[in-house]
Amino acid sequence: MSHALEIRDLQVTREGHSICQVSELTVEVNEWLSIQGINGSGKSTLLRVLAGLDQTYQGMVEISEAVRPVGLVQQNPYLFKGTVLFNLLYGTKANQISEPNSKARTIAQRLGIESLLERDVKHLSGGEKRRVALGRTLILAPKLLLLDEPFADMDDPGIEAICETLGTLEDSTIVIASPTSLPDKLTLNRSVTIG
Amino acid sequence: MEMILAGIREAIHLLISGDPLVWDAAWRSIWVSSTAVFIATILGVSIGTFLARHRFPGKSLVVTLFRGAMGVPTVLIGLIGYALLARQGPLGILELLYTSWGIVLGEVLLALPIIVSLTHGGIKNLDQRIPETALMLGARPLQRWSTYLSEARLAITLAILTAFARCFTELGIAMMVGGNLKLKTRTLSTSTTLETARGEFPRAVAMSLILLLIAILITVVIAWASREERE
Repeated sequence: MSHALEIRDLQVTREGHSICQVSELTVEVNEWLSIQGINGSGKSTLLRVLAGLDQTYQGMVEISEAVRPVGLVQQNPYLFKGTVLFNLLYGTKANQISEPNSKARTIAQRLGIESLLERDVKHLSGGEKRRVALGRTLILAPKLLLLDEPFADMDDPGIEAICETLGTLEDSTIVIASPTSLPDKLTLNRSVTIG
Repeated sequence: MEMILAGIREAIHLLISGDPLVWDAAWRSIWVSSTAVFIATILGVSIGTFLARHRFPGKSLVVTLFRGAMGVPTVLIGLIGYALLARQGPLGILELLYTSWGIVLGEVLLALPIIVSLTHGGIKNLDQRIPETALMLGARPLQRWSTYLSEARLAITLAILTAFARCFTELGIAMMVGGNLKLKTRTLSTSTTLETARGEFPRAVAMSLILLLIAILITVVIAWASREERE
């Protein structure tokens, strides 16, 4: 296996305080990794750095071209005003995704949100919003998928739907940040603790 | 009190009978204000979005100038418009002084700072996750701009309605740049002033009623839009 990403001596500092510190971390292509740590240990910051949203840091962070595009589903995702379908299709045009409508329906079905496609996102529960956010990222077929606490506030059917959907992503590298252990259904290669 | 009630009765009669002076001024007011706000919206929303999403030296000064310009008296804008459009002025060659298009130009100057400032505020205060999410989903610059406008649509709608209300009821620009010419550049506000001065009280009341009606309509639309957004 080759490296999907490599981190050395990463330190993110905000207002004089270190909010994320990782001395060394290497993730292989197609590896599924969970990053664990207590609240405030820097898990979300690490995912933001990997996604390219935070670019002010010290140290080395390298993402291989083999795992691009990178997809990030944030801990508290923002859904754009409109319907669930609008959100699922949001990035498809810019990323030249073929048959977007058909793919959106397939992903929605897997995630258990196919009955919500025409619903306005302001009427969704927290768990449903999280699944929509995951769906609109998955439709872009990211090679490196970064998930920030994807199971928080999720009921059992929601957890099951996400686990089954992730189970279909055989050719993806997945990094999941979570403060607690992940569902048994999810088979991970490795788990590291930071902070 | 009797004079006011008689004036309102006569005004309603003038409106129903289709008094040409009243309706000519009403249509001109609507046309001039709508055209000016349309032009100011295209320019103002673009400038406001750019100011909210980009950094450059002197940006704070530009934002402050636009905010300050919201409070400039219309009579001063009318004076500037007159100086620009007068025969010896830099835009004199266009021969727009004492025309409806001249008033449009003046009202664009009135509406632009309102739309720029309120759009800038609306987009600047958007949730920080919006640009990040758009970026992560690979949206190109045009799609990102369209997303910002869609997410800030209430603020932008309020900006446009506020600008329209200000243009529709202003007096200084229409008087100085338009010249208040009968059936040519007379608007509701300039006509109201003139008819009152001439003692034609019912006609002045009729025009004021239309102004009031439009103002109420705008208030209702603003309240409705705000409620829709909250729900």
